[in-house]
Amino acid sequence: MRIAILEDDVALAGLVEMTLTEAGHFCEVFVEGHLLTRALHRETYDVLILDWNVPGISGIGILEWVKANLDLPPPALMLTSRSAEEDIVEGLSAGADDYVIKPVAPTVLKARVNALARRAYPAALLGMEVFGSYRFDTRAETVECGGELIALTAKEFALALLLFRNLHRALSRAYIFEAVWGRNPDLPTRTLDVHISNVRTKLNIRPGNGFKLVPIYAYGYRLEALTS
Amino acid sequence: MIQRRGLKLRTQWWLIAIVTSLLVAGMTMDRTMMRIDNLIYDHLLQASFWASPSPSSKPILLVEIDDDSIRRLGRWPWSRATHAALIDRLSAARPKAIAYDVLFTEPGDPDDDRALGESAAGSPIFFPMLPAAAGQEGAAPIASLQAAATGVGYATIDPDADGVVRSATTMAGAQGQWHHLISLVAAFATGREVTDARARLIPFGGGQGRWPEVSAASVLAGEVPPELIRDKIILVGATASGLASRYPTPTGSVMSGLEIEAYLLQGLRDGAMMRPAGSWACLALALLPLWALMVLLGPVRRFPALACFALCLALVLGSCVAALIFWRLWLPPGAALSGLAVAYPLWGWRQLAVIEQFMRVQLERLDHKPSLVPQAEPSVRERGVAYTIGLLRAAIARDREMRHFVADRLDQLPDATLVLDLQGRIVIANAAAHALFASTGGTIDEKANAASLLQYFRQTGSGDPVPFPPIGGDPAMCEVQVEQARFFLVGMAGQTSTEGARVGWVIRFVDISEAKAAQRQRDDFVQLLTHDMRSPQASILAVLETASPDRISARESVAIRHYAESTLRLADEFVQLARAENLEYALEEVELGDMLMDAIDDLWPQSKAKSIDIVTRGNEALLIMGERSLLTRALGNVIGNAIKYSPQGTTITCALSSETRADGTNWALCAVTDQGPGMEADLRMTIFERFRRGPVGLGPKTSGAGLGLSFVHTVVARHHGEIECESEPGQGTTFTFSLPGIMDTEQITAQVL
Repeated sequence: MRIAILEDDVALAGLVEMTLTEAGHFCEVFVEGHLLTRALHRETYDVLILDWNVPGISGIGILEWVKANLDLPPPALMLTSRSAEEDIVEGLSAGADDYVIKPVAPTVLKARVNALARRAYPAALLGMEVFGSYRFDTRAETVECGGELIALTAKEFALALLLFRNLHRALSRAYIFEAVWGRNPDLPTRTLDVHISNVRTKLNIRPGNGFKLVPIYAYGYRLEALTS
Repeated sequence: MIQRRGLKLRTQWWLIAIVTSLLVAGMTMDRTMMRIDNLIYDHLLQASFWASPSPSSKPILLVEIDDDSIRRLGRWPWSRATHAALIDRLSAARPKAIAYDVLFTEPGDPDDDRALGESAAGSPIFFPMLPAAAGQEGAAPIASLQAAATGVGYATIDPDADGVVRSATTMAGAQGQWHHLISLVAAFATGREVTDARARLIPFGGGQGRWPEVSAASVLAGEVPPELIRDKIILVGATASGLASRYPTPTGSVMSGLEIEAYLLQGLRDGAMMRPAGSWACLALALLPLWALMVLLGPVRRFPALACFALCLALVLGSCVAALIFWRLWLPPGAALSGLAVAYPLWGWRQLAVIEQFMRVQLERLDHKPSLVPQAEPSVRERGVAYTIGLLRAAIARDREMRHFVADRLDQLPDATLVLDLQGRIVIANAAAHALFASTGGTIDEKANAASLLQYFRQTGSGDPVPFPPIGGDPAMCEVQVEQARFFLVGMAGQTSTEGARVGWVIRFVDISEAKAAQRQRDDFVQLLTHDMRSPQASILAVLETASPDRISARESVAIRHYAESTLRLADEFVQLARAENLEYALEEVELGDMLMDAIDDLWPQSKAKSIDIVTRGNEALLIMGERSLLTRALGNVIGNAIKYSPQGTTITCALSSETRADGTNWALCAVTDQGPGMEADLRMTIFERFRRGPVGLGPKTSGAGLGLSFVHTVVARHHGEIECESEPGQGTTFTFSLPGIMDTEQITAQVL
């Protein structure tokens, strides 16, 4: 994949470039915002990795520019030192598909980028989907963990499958609501939290099992697979 | 007090009304004011509004036995032959009537008497007689004249007590059969009945010399043309000095009796005689204006006192003049005028006295109240006007001092303060307010009001203008902005009088620009920590990650990574603490168990590294209102500490429970217990101290934890919860979170599923 990296810190840019090149991607680094927008005029990129505070147009500015100027915006990942929860929400709301706080471990970066790519360019789905020790039968709507069948309600199954299919991707509450319950504005907001809690307990989605469910402040959830 | 004063005044009003009424009635009946009445009457008669026809058209001719006649015909008395000759001369010219006002009461030479009688028979002629008076017999004219005369009457003139002749003499009753000579002439001339009219005031008007007059000598000498005599009423009488009396008249001039008779005749002929009013009319004239004045000036007065007084005076004089001119009725105004003149100052004086007393009592009461400001002792101590004036002076001085005191204290306030009335007009503005509005370009003057001054401010955030008066009751507070960097907290409070009625507003402008600047500085500082301090650390880690192992040895790389990560963690903890302290919490319904699970999952790498088992007890769903990320981090900080201080392979227990306290409130509890070394009691106290002291002064042993526990304390406190620590050396440590629960959580769960 062609990946554009907006990063003015040479050391960090080098790390990201090295990590992703090792994973078989083609990377291009931009140190200023308008250099990136100029390149976006003539080049196509599959994924954008954006720092927030850079000279010229900021990462947020790039997101807005992309939304306004490109017909088919590529998925974007914010990679920034701004760690406050309010900043994460602002970045995701501005149109970023994921948000990673520096410093970033190479494995995490690879997993996140792959998740973005998978979402943007999905592979054909089979009847049976396997995530670690979990086997999802999408036709029978059953899930097995370590060979043991786990009883889930229809909504819980849909929610679990949604989370696993979007591994490493931040899902907003509204997105999950619409995907699982459809457009139904009358549901209490606690419904989602209760279902998430049930799925987590029943499937035992805990770091011990190789998966971690991360709540994102005032935004939604992300399921992460742990690399031991 | 006011009631008592009113009652007292009302009583006095009645007293004054009754006393002056009696006085006026007495004066009216007694004619006490006659001199004043006469004065007014005389002046009225002298006034120019009386019609004054030309003398030639008058039907009266005076034939005077004057000084010239005496000189030409010889001394008085003349012989009766001379009189007969004069009568003949007059009769020859055919007068309408002759009133021959010369007494012929004693018989004289019979021939002359007879000749006089024969002459008198020549034309209608009237002779006077001498009416009977006290101790004196009356005397009629001699027989021959009585036979020849058309009428005989008395011709007495009675001056008033002041010597002025105003009225005709009437003797009706005393000498029943006799009439006044001129009445008889008038009756003859007009053809009417002779009546003793009550109207007897002579209409003097036009002054002296109004009547055509000729000398008797010139008539005898034939010098008077007969046309002058024809068809006239001829009055013959003596006017020569020494012969006849002269009388002062209301017109101001002195007249002979002949002239007065001419006026009388004229009045009777024309029906122009005037009559004095009766007692009832006089009483009415005197009392009605007085009562009108008392009512107009009464306790419930609505008109200016002087105007009322003038109105009543005008009413008296006006009705008096009008009655005289239009009805020929004389209403003496003296008693009425004096009644008004007495009542007006008397009532005014009583009012003043009552007011003075009221004022003195009030001022004394005020004087005895403790004052906020020092005041001078009144100089006069004896009661009296000077005493009251002194009290009033003291009250005014005290008021001035109070104003100064209030203005002074207001000026000393550091905040700009405006005192407004209900309409928003400025009552007082302190020095700080003047300075504030001078700096915004506005000025505080008489025209300034709340609306014109508040227009310089905009509410921070919304940019709306500041409403005045404040909406939704008081005290109202809002944050406003002037220009770019000046912020004020505007507080408005309603002011009430001592009776509790709303009388105005006080607006205070507290300058919070510095606090705002400090807040912005703190935000910048947090921003610096979150980004500018973290970025280089992230870069250091990136460099270590990408550097080839032969350039940086593995051992150094680990050390550098450790320090960079420590710096990052410190920055993170500081930022989180700042958030926990400053953020406006967006509370939502969250479940304590979910947050505990999140916190444990976050710490999985650390617990796994030390083979520490983290066990959760209690399946109850504990719903609270909370800020999810901060509470999760607080739980994480406590569990992280437990992991840090616990030996390898131990167990950490997180127990969830709920509790209903004595006051009925529901609490969610989470107790984190480790199997670590525990703490001495004094160290445990120190930990709690640090909670309060915040992030400074950390010892090397607890490095990194101080900020974390400060964060925990801050977050729990801001959730109105509690955190407790129980520990004994060797027995492990238990941290217990207590947070206010919201309701029966199973109900909600059931409802959602």
